Amino acid sequence: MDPARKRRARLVVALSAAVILAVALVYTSFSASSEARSPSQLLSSADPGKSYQLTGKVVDGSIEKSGTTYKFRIRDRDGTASVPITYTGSVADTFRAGREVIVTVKPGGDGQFVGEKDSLITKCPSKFQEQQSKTQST
Amino acid sequence: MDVVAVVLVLAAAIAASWVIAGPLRGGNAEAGDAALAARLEDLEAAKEARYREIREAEMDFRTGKLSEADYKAIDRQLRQEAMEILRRLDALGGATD
Amino acid sequence: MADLGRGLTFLAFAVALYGIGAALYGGIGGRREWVTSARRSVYALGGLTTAAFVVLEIAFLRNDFSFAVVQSHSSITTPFFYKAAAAWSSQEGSLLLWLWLLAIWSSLVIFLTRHRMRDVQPYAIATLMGFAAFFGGLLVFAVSPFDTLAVAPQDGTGLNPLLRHPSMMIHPPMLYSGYTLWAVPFAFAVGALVVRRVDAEWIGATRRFALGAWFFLGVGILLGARWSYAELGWGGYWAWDPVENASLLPWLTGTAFLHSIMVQEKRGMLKTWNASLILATGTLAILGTFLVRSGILDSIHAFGASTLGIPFVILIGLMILASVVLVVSRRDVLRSEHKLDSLLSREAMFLANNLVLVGLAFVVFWGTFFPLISEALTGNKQSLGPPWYDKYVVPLALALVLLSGIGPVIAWRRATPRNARRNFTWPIVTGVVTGLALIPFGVAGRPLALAMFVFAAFAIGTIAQEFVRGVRARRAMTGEAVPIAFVTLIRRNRRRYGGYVIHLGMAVLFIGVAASSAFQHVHTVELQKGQATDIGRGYTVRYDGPSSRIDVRDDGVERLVFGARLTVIKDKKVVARLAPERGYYPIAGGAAANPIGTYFEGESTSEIAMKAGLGIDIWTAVTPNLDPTLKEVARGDKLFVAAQGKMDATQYATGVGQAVRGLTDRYAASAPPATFRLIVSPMVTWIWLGSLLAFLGGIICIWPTADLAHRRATAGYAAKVARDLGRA
Repeated sequence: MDPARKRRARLVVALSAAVILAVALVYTSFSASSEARSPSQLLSSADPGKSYQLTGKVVDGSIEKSGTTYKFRIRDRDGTASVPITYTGSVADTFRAGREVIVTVKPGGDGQFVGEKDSLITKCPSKFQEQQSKTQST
Repeated sequence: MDVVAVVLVLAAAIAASWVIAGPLRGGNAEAGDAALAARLEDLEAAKEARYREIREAEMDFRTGKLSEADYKAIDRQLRQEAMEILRRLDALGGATD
Repeated sequence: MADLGRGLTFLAFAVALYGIGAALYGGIGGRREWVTSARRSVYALGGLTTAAFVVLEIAFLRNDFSFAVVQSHSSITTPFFYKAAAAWSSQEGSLLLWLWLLAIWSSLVIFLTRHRMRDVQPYAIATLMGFAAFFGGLLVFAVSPFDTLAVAPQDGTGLNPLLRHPSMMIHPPMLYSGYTLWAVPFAFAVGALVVRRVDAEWIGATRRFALGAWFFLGVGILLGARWSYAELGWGGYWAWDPVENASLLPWLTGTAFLHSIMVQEKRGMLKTWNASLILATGTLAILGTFLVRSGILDSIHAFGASTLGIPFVILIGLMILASVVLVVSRRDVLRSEHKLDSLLSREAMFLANNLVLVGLAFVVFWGTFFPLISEALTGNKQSLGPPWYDKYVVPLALALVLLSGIGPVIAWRRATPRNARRNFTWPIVTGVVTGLALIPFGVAGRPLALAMFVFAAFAIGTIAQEFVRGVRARRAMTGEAVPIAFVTLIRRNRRRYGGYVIHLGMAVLFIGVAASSAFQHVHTVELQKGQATDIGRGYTVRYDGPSSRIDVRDDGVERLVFGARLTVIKDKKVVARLAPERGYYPIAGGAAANPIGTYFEGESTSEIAMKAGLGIDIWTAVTPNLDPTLKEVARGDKLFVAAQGKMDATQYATGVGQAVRGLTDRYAASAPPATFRLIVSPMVTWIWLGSLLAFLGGIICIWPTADLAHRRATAGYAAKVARDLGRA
């Protein structure tokens, strides 16, 4: 095979490999991902076998801790609809009532949701948002 | 409005404008020299690049990544290119010492 | 003062606009004086932005709370270092920092190349000033750090305790230096493409800036990982969070770029690829800057929906459009001078390295933006977690390490079997022997980690071989002693041997990553006082008892600290005594309504207690059980609020102080059970050591080489060349 044809063949092989890998990537991402839901979305419909990525704010006064298990409620960012979560795993320093969190949950029956181990992410209090703390007045 | 701030900002504006407009007032006196300096620097950079490649080729040969035949061919070609650059530098009369 | 800052920023914006106009007018019309004027405007931009940044810093250091950003991010009692660093904790301040760094690097590159590439310069200047005008415009019209409050308060709210750590303060300037330095090769690539001078000249002139960008961006990323591991309570160093990924993307494509330009310099190939790669890297750097402050992706770095989203999207869109148009319309001059002769050649290995790095970038990009992509395609926002990333990143990382061993040693153009035997025998032996030696340690159960160890050993083997052969070659030429030959070898071949040191560092880093991910044990467990638990790899941790104290500063209580005393035991011997803690900070100004409760409603931070070692890290964090304490707090609050009118101020303060002291003492005495996160992680230290090595290698590469001596030759040019070479 002359060099030009060899090069063209190599190009075709390389491109096909890239396309196959890209397709594999795209395909697995749809099946491996978990749907992001807010509490009100989760309340309206939740498949028992499916995992969901729940984002919302921790309801004030709802945090209960027994041993290494936490029970708390998460509500919509701007709203009151909330879901109860049972979670075991790592909890960030920033975790407290009123903070925004992301956690992967599965419906646990009875309207309860079970959090996946170590999947709780508590968002850092934003640097680029208005401050929550009070300011001193002169 | 803070008077000191206004004065300082004005001073900064004047200084900046003076610096920036400088070349526009000076005319073409330095243009010729500047063009020559530019070509010289470009040639110097090309020369340095050739030198570096000659040394790297020798390094590759001594550490067994280049066969002797390949090395001799590459070395010869790079040296030709370097000499050509030196010739052009001399033609411009500006080879720095 | 604020007016001064505002005025200076406005001037900077105006100068940037002028710079664009003057550069283009001079470049298109061939009017050199206008280009020189544009060059001076870059210097003026450097001066003006420096002054504006100094004004902001002075405001922070002088506690000028009339500045809104000073009030919201600093306080009288904030330590000096954090006050200075608080300047870039806010959206506005960080944008000013970005603009200032851009102006500094632009001034530097324009100065250093003032006599070179005269046709490319105008468009490079126009591009750099374009970025400056964008950020300047944002600072003038949208988010100014010089906004003032109508009435200057007495004190500010202070810096978030989570950020009170040196690495968190240096992290933004490092990242921004990285991002802004990528703008330099980006601008020169644009200029080179516009004037169709796409030889290696623009690459050579901006190579050190690209290396600098790689270096600073890498340091920034690493500081983030180190902070996450050593300060946050989860014990990991990388979470594939969108904001982490945003900084990694330009680093990956930038690393590819640094490699593929070597092929263009040596063989005139890959011109289109290089141009596209640097244009993509610059765009990704802007994307990274944007993502962090946009709020479009769910991330632990929760940045609220900011008003800057639309301008950034427009800028990024413009950059992508301009890049595509430039590359496509110049594709005739971007044609390669040579073709790929053989797949077994250094050119091919570099190309493979690039494909792996770009593949990694694609995986990270896809995973990061998948929520938006899936929402656009299916209406549902889906997100991908670390397991998905690991599935693709690990094989690609393995390929990368393997290539880093093959690439430097294989011949250019075509490798012969003899050549391969000579160069690969010992490294392959090293790799195989390492693999076999590790099997008794139980690594066979983790084939991917074992593969990484073998490949890394192979790569380290080639690097060692290169150094040995290099020293030997030098000694053959000059007869120097080994240590001197070693140093001179590196000094005279900085790019090559600096690169080898970087590869060595990366191999060590990947060994650390593989070991610490594959063989880690994580336990979350509740322990009673005196109770012990097995945490894996033969280690036991015993909870000896609680601890508590009050940290006091000049203005009063800084925080309450509740912790635990742990003993780590292996083979019946005490290995370490660790004291993890939690600090509880009061809410500023909250003492009136909840005199005691204020301490428990503010931020809390984990103080990790760790025994780090070359072989293994024992990482511990505690969450104290404060329920009994909180009940008393609630009672105490009621009592003190009721007593507020009835005591004088000193008595009240003393009373509160005694109550708090009582609570902390009682915690230490009563010892309720506490929850612990305990992690045993092998070889995490290798990650930090490896990255230090890589950065050292980067410094070696960037370090300027002494000019070769120039001496006029009386003999012919051949002799002159030989003399110049010999003198170096």
